[in-house]
Amino acid sequence: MTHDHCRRPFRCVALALAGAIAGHMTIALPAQERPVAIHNARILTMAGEPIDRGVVLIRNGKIQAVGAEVPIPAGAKRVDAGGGTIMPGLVSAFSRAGLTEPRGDPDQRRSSRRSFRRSRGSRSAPKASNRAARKIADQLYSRQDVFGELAQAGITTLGLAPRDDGFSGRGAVIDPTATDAATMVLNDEAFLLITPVPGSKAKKLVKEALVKAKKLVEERKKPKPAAAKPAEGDKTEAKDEAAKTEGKPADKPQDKKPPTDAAKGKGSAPGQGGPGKGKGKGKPKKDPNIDAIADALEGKTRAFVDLRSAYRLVHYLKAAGDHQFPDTVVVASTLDNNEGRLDEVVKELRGLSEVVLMEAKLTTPAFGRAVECPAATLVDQGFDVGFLLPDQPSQAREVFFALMELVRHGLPQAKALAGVTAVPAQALGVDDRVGTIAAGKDADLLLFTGPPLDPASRLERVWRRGRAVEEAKR
Amino acid sequence: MRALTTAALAVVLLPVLAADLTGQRRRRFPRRPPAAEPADPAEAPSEKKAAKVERWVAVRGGDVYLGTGQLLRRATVLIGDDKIKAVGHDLDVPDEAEVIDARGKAVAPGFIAVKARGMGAPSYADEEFADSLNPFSPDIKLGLSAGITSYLAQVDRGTDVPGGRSAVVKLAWGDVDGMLVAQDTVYTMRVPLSAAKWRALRERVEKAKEGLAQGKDAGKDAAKPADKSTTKGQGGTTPGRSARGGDKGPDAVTKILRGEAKLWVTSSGNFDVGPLRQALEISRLLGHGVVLDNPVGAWVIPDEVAATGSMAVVSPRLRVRPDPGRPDDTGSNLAQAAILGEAGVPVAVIPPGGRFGGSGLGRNGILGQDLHTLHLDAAFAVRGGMEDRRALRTITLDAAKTLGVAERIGSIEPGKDADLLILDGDPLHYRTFVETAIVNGKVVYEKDKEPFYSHIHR
Repeated sequence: MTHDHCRRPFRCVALALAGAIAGHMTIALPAQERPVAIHNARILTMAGEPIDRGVVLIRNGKIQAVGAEVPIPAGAKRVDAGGGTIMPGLVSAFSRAGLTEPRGDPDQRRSSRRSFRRSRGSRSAPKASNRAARKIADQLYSRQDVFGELAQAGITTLGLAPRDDGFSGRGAVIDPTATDAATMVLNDEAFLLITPVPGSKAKKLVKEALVKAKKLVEERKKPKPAAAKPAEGDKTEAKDEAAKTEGKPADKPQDKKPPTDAAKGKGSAPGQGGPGKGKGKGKPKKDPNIDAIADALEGKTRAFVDLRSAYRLVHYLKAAGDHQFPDTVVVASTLDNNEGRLDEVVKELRGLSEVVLMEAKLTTPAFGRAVECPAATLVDQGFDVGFLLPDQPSQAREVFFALMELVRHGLPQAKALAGVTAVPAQALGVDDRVGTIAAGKDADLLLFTGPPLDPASRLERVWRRGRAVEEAKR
Repeated sequence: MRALTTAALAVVLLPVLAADLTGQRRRRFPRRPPAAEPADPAEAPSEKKAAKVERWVAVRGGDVYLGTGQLLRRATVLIGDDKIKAVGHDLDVPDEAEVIDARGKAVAPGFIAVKARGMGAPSYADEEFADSLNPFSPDIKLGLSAGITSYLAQVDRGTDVPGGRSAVVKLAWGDVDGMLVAQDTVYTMRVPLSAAKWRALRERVEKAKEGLAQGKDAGKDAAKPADKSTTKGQGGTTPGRSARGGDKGPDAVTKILRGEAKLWVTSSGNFDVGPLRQALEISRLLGHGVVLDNPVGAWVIPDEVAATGSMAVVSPRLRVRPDPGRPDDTGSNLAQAAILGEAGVPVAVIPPGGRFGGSGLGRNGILGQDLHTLHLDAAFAVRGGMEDRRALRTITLDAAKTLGVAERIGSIEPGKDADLLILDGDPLHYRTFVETAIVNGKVVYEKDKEPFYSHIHR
């Protein structure tokens, strides 16, 4: 810890000097670095069968080769894994870490994502708002110990999520080992988070926003005499290219927008437009929230839907109707026993998404004693199940024990490990870089002294893009 | 020789048994001839109907308590999708029908808890209750295990004028679309009213009547302003509680005048003869019977109550000590439900309020036990002298009437919702358990599969 504090400013200066290039790859190391070969390791690639006594060759922060027969080039720095196990770095896809102001007292630095905010006996209907355009990356407090601690716990990629009910905003992918906000945020529009809540007002909000966004999508599709660009943008739909230049298509329909409002008679839904930002304008009202939703409807950004229970799922499906996002990930940020579990409504769930991110937890039915493993049920049904990692570093370190419990209740080991690596990486859309160990991917690696799901194993080292995060102090 | 002794014994014993039968009503399956002719076979599904129905279920061979007071022995209930299509003997059961064997069992309409909490309805007043119903609440199963298939969820109450928000909710496990029976068919208010409040109520009713008289088209428009004042009036008396969502559609008074909603009248103090007569005065003002909520003094003037067409929601085992100065017209005991029933007042039964469970069914009692006792409260009414058949009505058809939804639920009759129970004995007997509960034509509870009573085998 103290080492870390001393070192960081230096690294920061070095980076500032070295990295004059634009883009996020600046974090990567200077152009020619001595390759590193980790040998004498059992490698869980998450992309195929494990490799016994294999080698991972790292160059410039990337995995150059992996396998049993990889020749180690002369001059490479050799790291003996001592027969330990290598697996990909953990991906926490849905986190609230670092979103609260840093405090002096570490006890107060806890995230509140897990707390129940709305008690069941509430006397008023749940409220929801449309803040789809909001970026959670803007609320990030970058200089916090929590990120370094999470990296030490093995989390090498972090997805940050907004929280409010309704259209919550857009989540970000961040690098927990970076030291300042600019280099930390890898993608500030990684996903659009929707947190549907039951209740007439909340459902109306979702319904109306989706209808508006759908109209906007159709307008964008119309060929425009002035510019040919938007049509092209639509065709390349789900390409990550489009995701990067995402700001542009949002601006384009501006000239087309007023006719819609006039046609619709925009007085029909006052107040629904946006408790967020897009209010108070004159006639050419353009709601950035609707733009953000339209992007997700087009598949330019993916949608995360935080459905904690079967109850929320059925009401969300009723509110959303046919307006489904092409790229949807279902999140269950908590599992509420009083509202039915998601694995009880598999059919409806499948209609929404095949990828589910949920807590690594066993449950007990409300009036029963049986212990059930919803994750195992969903995996049996063919879902890709990812697990939410705790925001608190001390709890994050215990995630493997939670996984062991699930494995004991029927979850296959490989699925348990994929649930903290490959699946969340896929959910965040960063599976081209992280989540598995394969040539060309980022060298985000964990070294365990034994099998990760063995209680006797411990996490020995963490590499983020080929660089050791910090020697684990134990 | 042996046969002779048996015969002799029989001769001796039969009158004894018969005497016992009359004296002790609470036998399982009391021997009584079916009170009704079997339902008309013509009501069996015709070809045309069969084409539309996707799923047939036949509950066969049980003793069917229709809920209207009639009992059909070894009859069949034919369910098409979510409705009851036919009840009777020798029905034409379609070949594809799923048959549930109820031989040796009792079949009864699902019980209706006219006051309850939880079980899937929100605790807040939503604009549309359907948007907040939770079909996965574990309490739904708990309610079903006690035979409850529908209940009234009240979230706001009116005070000096009819108001409040309520919904009749069905325990359709897992089916969010099948849960809402009706919303805002029950409004509430309190008596006694001061002279000024009585005047205000009267003006309100006159205004609403005028609106209605101005013609059907004007009805809704006229209701609007009146409605505004409704919420305002309520807001004045219970600030911040009743303004929510109350101003949609025609206002409470208009709906009551049209007969689309029931007015429940309760008393802020003892519901003795004084306030009771004012409640009856309100019913005369409205031209519709009201529902008297826990009218402790009603047994004193049952005929007056009956004359207004009013109904009563009582708790038979709620014993209220009489005023020592007026022992003849205050207080209440087991007999009140029977006395009102005799006079022709439809009575719905609820568990007692007070220390163990509040004024309705919920999970508040000891280990949530008050959710389990609805049929026992009806049995208390029998203990107080009410007829068996009428007692079953207090938790089925008459209960539905107090909620204004009797055209949909409360009895096993063709055209009604297929909400019924298969029980292992007389519906009101304390030994009886619900074996299967069917809501909207679907089996939603089976005793063997749920944790509540599966350990009890009989």
